[in-house]
Amino acid sequence: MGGCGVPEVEVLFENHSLTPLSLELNVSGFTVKVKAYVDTGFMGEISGVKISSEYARYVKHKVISTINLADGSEVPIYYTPNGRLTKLEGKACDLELPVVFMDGPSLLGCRFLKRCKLCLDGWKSVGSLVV
Amino acid sequence: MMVTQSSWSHAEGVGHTFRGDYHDFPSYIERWLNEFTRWSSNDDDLESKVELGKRLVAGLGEAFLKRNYGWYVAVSLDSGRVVARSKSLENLNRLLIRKGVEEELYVERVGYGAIASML
Repeated sequence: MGGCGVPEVEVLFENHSLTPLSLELNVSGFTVKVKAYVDTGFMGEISGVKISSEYARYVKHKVISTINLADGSEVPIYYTPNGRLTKLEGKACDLELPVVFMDGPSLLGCRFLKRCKLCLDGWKSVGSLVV
Repeated sequence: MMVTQSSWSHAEGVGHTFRGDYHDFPSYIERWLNEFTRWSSNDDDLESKVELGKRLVAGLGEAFLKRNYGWYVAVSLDSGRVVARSKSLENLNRLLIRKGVEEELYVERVGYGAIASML
């Protein structure tokens, strides 16, 4: 059993990447359900969850800042410190996470992984995530 | 959708004098809301807010920036004042939640700029 009451979650390798995880988030009071990829390249203290920028318009109290991309560019983003992970792969959970609003696929970053134990078995194409 | 005479009068009474067709009133509101939504979700608008935020931080003065080098600062885009500052972003985020600030905020790490990276 993990730190936020979630038992081990199985992750699989498919097409040379980890399968996305189903998340349910509470973002400033409203519920968002997304499928997010684990991204070890998403780093920094706000690297909790990244979801589509479409959701930003529903969040009342959001903060503006910038993040650096791999090509060296600096892009503006909205984020809210007021996010909670309430379900992971259908299992109830309660983890405070900052949420970044940005175009592209949903991601789980290093700020989330800091609270987890991620084990990967490349030979068997399986892994496990303990929150 | 039909608009009653009373709601029409009320709309005029609160300063939204409408000069179009009487039955167009709801679509007029809808058009205005669509325009506002498009404006508020515009990426260019976000970029201009970041520009404004950067200018506000730069304008805080050399002494402040030197004293707070490496600290995270949250500046209000409405008033230009520093709402919160902290050595860690995690702590700054906690402060912002606790304060429940309603203004639009810009956050920067003094001397560094971007607060995260996506590689």
